[in-house]
Amino acid sequence: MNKDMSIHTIHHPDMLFGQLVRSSIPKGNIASISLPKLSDDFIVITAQDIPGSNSIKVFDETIPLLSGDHIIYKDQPILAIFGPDRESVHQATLQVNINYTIDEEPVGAVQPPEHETSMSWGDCESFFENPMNTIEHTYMTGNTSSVPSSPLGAVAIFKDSAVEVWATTQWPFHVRKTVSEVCGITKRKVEVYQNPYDHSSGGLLLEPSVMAALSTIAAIKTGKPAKMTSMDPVFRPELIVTKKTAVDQDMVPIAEKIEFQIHLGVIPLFADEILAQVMEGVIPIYHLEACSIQARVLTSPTVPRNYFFGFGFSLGLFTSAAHASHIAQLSLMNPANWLMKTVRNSTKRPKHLVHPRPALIKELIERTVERSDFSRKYAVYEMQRRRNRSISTFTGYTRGVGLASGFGVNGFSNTYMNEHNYSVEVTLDVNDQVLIKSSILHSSTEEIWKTIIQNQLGINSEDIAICQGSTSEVLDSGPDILNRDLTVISLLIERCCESIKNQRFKEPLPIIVKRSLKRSKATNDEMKKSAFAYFTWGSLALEIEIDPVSLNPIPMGVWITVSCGHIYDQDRLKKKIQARVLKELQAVMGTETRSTYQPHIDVEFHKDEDAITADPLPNILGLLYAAYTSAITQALNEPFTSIPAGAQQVFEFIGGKK
Amino acid sequence: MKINCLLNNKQAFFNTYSDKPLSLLLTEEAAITSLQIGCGTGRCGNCILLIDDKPVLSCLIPAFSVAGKRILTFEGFTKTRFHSEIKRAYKKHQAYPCDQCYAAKTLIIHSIISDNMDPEPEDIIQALQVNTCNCLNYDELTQIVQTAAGFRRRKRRVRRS
Repeated sequence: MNKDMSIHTIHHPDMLFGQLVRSSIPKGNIASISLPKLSDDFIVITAQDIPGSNSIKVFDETIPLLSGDHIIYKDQPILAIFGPDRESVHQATLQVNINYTIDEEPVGAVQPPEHETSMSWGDCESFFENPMNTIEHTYMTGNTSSVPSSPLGAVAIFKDSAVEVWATTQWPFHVRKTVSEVCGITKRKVEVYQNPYDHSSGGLLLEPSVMAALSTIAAIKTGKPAKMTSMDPVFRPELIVTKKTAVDQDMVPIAEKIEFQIHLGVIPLFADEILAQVMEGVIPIYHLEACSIQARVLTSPTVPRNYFFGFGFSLGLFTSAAHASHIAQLSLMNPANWLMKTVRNSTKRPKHLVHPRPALIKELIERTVERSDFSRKYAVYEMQRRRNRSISTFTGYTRGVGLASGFGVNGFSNTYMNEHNYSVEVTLDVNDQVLIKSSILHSSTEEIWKTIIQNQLGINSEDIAICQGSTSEVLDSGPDILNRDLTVISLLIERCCESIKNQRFKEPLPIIVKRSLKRSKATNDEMKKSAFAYFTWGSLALEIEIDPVSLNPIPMGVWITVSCGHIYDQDRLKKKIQARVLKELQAVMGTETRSTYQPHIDVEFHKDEDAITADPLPNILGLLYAAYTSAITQALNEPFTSIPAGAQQVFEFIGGKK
Repeated sequence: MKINCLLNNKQAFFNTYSDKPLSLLLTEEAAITSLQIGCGTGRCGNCILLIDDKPVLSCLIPAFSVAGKRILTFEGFTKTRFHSEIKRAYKKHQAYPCDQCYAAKTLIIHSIISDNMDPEPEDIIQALQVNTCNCLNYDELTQIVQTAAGFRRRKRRVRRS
């Protein structure tokens, strides 16, 4: 089978197709299950049919694979039906009748006590006793779901007492572990291959592992290949941040109280990492004498939330950058000037937090302002805003421009520092050919890696091979792989090449070098909550116009300036950023189809060759949400503090205001 | 239901459920691998193929409706003389669709220039909207289509002369 094949395209003549039956209640017990009459071609798998452990483990958290008698969340898988074709299996699942006894317990969000954290510096209370002014806003990222643009799924083939699994997973070693534990077979007998996936939609950890385990059981029981795919929506975590800022007479912030809660569904998966990343994001870049932050995780009997492109940092950054814009707007200053005035070095900020680089931020803002003509546009739209005209659906000139600036963090914090890290192995063999082993789907960056090796070792491109095999051939990068930071792999390949260069012509071939991402060791508990290894810096301006008929905030242009260390292929990175920004704008506007109008997206890279290469996207996405809501705020003349923000939200907002 | 059709210029016969989506019919029963079945709901536009030379979303076409029709998938299209024009246009602009949407975008471009060898940017954008993948922007796509159309016009002139 070809590695590039979509899971839908993998087909065998006698293949079984599977579909899950899920619970329709959030909490309760299963009283009875009645199944339709099925021929011998079908197989039903319930919790009782699982030969090994009926659970999926991700570090310390465990979630049942199939519910036995007790339902703990809505849409929990109860059973799976496999049959000879997709249509008859679908018909069979519709005829399954499940009776429940429903729990009377409340099903709202609750707070598990272990996932709570706080941080502070300075005496925050004293600044709030007699403040000159306080500004308070609550920022929300709503309950957003998205349907993956390509299906999630798995195919299992059982042959000679071993299993081959193909899955749309981001972490094939997690699939291997789950299949091994659920089916009661040793890991050595499970080979997992990755299929192409749409990483921007999330849902690439639990769902593929569930489907792989159930397909494997079906394959073992029947001896036929089994396949399960799903297009069920995946949900993002919901974040609510309340920011209360004390400012002086010049509207310069002095102290800030931040409270946030993040809702993760039924299990607080990666809760500590998510808390650490959101914590880093919600802390503003402007100088504060004192700050206190309270953070907690909420759970509820709903589907587990998925990580999306990082573990919440972008969402946190959105709130801090949007809040900075709101204060700037109240100060009647241009946000660019306000940011440059308020960002400065400070010894007050704890050392383990990222410290702003005022000179760099100033430079990035200046470049963005110049290219986007921000100052002129801001002055024009501000004049319109201050006219206090009433908002009408059919009249009015409703435009706004927003600017956001800040840093981005990459990869994991120290939460999982003892787990496997990103690893790369480069082998220079006796024929002067090179083999790269890693554990990430990498067709998009293949050329970059080959160029690095060509430049460093002088080996022709056709003599460089990239191992894209199964779990027995590639390396386990542990949870790091969930962050999909491809820039780290390039960096590690470069380090491997340097080592090979030093050994070449001195040591006999083959020379095998393995390099892993090493994080600085945290020295105390507080530091474990943060301390990231790689940073990017960015500034982003965005102009919108509220469509007078549809009320859609239509982006007119996006200008991005980013500093992310050495860039191996600028054109490729620029395209990646442009495509991702477009996709994210569509998601944040709540439009799934491609519109006829595409905003101009201008990307400029700030040269910082000495900095470590890092992926700028987590930074850019946070800034994009912030600039987008700031622009809507200016257009509507009221603080707009939540995403998604499409026509429906604008309509509700105008209705509420009236 | 028994269905006869012309698939990539060869007679094909299927015995299948009448409402099975054409995309699944072709991948599961005709071993067509070029179809990138993404969302399965007509949203992503990656499963485009040509039925009687018109682009359609194969995930939204029930099997029964293709009886007696002429279906051209990307596999079939690569064997035609038109494929090289579009490939040359991609190369000229050094802009290539990603793996997910390559087949779909190429077939849409072919259908645009088959209908009109001098298409306007608005027509190009409208036709390409069906595919929601953002790997290429509209400026790039417009240039590619116009270049490919130019290649086709030139080829036609040469053939006529």
